[in-house]
Amino acid sequence: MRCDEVMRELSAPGGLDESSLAEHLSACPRCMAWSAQVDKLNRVWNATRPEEPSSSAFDTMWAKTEAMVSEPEILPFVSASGWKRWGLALVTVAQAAVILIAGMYGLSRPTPAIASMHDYRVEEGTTLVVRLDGSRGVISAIEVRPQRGESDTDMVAADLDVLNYMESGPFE
Amino acid sequence: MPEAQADVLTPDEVLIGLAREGDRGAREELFRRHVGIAHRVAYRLLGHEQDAQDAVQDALVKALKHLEDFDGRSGFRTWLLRIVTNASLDSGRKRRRRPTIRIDEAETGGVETAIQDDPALGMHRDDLKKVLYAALDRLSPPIRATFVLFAEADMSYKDIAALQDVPVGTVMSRLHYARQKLQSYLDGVEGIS
Ligand SMILES: [Zn+2]
Repeated sequence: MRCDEVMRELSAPGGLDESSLAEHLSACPRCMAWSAQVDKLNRVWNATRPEEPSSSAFDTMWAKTEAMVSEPEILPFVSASGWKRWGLALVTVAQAAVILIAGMYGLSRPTPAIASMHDYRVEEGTTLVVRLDGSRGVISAIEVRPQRGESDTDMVAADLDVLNYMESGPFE
Repeated sequence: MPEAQADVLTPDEVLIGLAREGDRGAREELFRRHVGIAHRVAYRLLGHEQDAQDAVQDALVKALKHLEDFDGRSGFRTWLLRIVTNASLDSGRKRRRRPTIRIDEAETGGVETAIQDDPALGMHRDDLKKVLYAALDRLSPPIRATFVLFAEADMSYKDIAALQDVPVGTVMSRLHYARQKLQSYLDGVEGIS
C-alpha cells in the first residue's frame, strides 16, 4: 500500500482494507502524522458545530418564509369571462421585485411561447397581467407596459393590452 | 400520541405532493424537518450567523415556491441543500469582504450558546471558530461546499456528486485537497493541541 493511497483513504474513505491500513500506519511515521492531523481537524470541526438557532428564531423564519411563499395568492383578483380555469389579476408593481413566472410573453407575439420556470426581475412601475392558479401561485404573467405616470391615458393603454392578451386565447 | 407519530413518519414525497396542492401544514412540516441541516450547511459555508439565516430563508422560499421543479431523482434533502448551497455561495460573493467571524459580536441571531469548549483542544471555542473559518476561507467556494456537505451534512459521495454536477472521483479528490489545505493551516496555528 502506497503512502498517497493511505492518505487519500483517510481523507475520503473508499473501502481500503482496514487491517492493511493499520499495518501501514504503524510502520510509517509520515502517514501516522497525517492521521493525527486528520484527527485534529475532526476534533476542531466537532467542537465548532454551528449552534442551532432558538425555536423562536425558526418560528420567525417560518413566518417570513410562509408569507413570501404564499405571496402571489394575495394579489388583487379580477375575474374575467372565458377564463374560468385561471384567475387573472392586473397588478402594478410598487417596487422592484422578483416573481415566479412560468411563461414570458412578448407583447407583439400573437402566439406566446411558454418558457420554463424562472425568476424574473420586475422593475418598479411595471404593470403586469398575472394568471393565477389558486394552489400553485403565479403560473404566467405578461408585462403590459411600464407605467410612467398615474395618468388615465396610461391606464387605458394598459387595459387595451390586457384585452389583447386575453383575446390571444388560452395557452398550453 | 399516535397522530404525532404518524406525522413524523410521513415521507417527504407525500408532504411534497400535499404542499404542491397548496397544503400549508405540509409546507410547514417540510420547513421544520429540514431547516436545521440547511442552517448548519449555510453557517459552515458563510461563517456568519445572520448571513446563514438569510441564505436559508432565501433557499427555503425558493424551494417551497418551486416544488414543481423537484423531480424526485434525488431526495428532497439533497435537492434543498443544492439550493441552500447556491444561495450561500451567492451571498458569500456579495459579502466577500466582510470578516467571517466577529468574536465580540453581541448580536447572536437568536442562537443559544450550549456547546462547551473541548478541553482536549486547549483553546477557547470562539478562538477555534476563528481559526477554522479562516482556514475554510482558503478554499474555493465549490471545494468548501464539497467538504461542508460531506463533513456537516453527512452526504454520500454520490449525492454530493449529483448536487454539484461533478463525478464521484472529483468529490473524493476535492475532499483530499480540502483536508490538505485545512490541516496544514491548523498545523501552523499555535495553541491547538
Ligand atoms: Zn505511509
